[in-house]
Amino acid sequence: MKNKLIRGVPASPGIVIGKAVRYGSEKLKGSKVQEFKGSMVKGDEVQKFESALDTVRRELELIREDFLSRTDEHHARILDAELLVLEDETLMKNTIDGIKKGASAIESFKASMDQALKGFDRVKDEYIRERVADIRDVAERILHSLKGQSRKLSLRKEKHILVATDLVPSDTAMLDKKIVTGFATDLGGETSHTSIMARALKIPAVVGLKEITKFIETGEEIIIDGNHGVVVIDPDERTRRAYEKRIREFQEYERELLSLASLPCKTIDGHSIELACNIEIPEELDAALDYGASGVGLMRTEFLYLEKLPGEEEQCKTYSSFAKKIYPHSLIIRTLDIGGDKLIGLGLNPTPTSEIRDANPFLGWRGIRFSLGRQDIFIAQLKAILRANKQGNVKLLFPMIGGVREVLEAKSCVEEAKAQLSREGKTYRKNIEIGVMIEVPSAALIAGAIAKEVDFLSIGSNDLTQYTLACDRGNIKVQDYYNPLHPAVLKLIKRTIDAAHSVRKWVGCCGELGNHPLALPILIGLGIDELSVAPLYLLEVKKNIRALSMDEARIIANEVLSLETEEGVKRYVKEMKKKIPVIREIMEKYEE
Amino acid sequence: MLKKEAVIQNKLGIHARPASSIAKLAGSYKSKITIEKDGISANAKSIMDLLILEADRGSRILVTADGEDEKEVVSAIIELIGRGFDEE
Repeated sequence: MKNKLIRGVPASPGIVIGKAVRYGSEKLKGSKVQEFKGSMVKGDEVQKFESALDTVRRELELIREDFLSRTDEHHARILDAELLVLEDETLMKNTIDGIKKGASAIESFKASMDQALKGFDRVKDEYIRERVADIRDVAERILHSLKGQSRKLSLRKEKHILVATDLVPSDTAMLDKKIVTGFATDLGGETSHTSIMARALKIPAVVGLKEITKFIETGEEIIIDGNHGVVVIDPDERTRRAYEKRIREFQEYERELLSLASLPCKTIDGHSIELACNIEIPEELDAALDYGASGVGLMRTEFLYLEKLPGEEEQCKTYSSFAKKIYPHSLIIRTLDIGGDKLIGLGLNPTPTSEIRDANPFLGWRGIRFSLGRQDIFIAQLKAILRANKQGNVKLLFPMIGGVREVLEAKSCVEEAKAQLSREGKTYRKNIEIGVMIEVPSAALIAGAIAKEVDFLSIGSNDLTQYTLACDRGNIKVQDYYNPLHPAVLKLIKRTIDAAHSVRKWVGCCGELGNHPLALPILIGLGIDELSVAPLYLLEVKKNIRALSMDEARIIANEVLSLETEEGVKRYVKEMKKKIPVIREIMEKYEE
Repeated sequence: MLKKEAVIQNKLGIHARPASSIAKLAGSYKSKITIEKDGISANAKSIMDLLILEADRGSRILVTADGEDEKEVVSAIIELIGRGFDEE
């Protein structure tokens, strides 16, 4: 389709032109495995088997596409048969039965496969006997995947752009960024795993394109504009040239930003701001270091809990490797912040006797409330964090604190974790800095009392806005009501910063407000000590900070805080644009 | 439960592609489906089971289905065999 333009969600910045490879269909839904699993509760090995099948399915589909694009239908058909082996009911049933009897996924699959292949021994038909090699190929792939030796997803050697319905974590984990230069998907949003991964790997990506897989064939040329969330299929010469120009401009802008990585994060008049990174998946840490982050201001730990409950050892290993990598800078680890439907995936129901979700997940059993309710899980995490603090650069952060009570209870859990470690003879540092997220309005209102109990506060502006304005930011119908620059939110932020400073504690902000260009002068003017933003925004924020003066920022903060209506804030912002050149420049970029 | 006999008519019998077609078709139905030849029974939703039947041209086979959509699936499979798996 010549020069077809499709709009989606910009997931990862950058522009790239290349050949597309369309890849795979949807994730395995209601698979055979689920059918045979039945009422089995402990499904670790079953899950392992299922995800191995999933991985292999994707590998095979990719190869199949490759054959089809070279119009090699004969081989593509063989792949059809191989794909059916993944659905083979007898093989699935026998493997799951074996696991139910206590065998590991590997043992049980091997035994079932051997049994199936034995049947071919007495087959006389040469043509059918030849198929055994194909079946063995599938078996090998499944075994490989079960042993965790996944192959690279990019089976092609030439560079290409991946186009898929959606990518699951196991796919993106296999992406070779030297070969996959960009991707576009039907599904996904700005915060989906695929998008975070793309940003971490610095691969331009557009997601949420709805039906792009229907419009594109493998081998067609495609442009991915990750800055604006646009994809062009089979561009004509003029479009192509226009984008080549944009690529050059963007590369120049990136170079300019990268030159800031090693420069100090200071306002024009010499006021230093700590500029750290938020990390959601391990891959982001490299990006954070490349961009010169002064530490990790928020390490989310939910990724460890996506499929199962991680043990103390596994967690300790992960946290230790992060702490080592970022040293001498600090690593602030936020304890588990899940709730609502995410618990069900772990087999932990919000209500013990039913599978019904919390009626109001955001007001329900989440964050610290969950941790205090399940201290077995909480203390295992605390022990792992304490042990990972070998060099003394790790700090603890508690989410969803509403008042002093939770702070005290969480702190006594830390003491319990220390006592257990001592009894077990494991080494750890006695001193660890503890901080609290200020994201519930009640906590902001009594921030002084909370700050006395801890070493630092970190404002979670997204949730603070959502809870203050009683507005679900994921709900399109009320998105106009979600406004982090609402006077009420700004007043709570000011109150938090002042309260912490009055007891000589530092305050950071780890929400999206930190990379909101207009909020930046306000936060700095209010005296925020640290900003923690996604790696992607780090250098842009630094650039903006370096263009501001503290005097200006204080005046802006003062005036904005005196405004009582949203309209007033909006009007002020408009005027600010006229009056102050730096703000104008920042805003014009923002509105582009 | 529903049973129906059929004779394989295509030149190569149930080799890889016909086996794929049967497994794919069977997989889209809920019933339990078997295909029997010379006393050996294959799960129609298992491509490997189907292949080792070695049902070549002229083989008599028995299609059995048990479940809510047994009628539809038996006639669909008989029809597929009757069309010689759309080969040639």
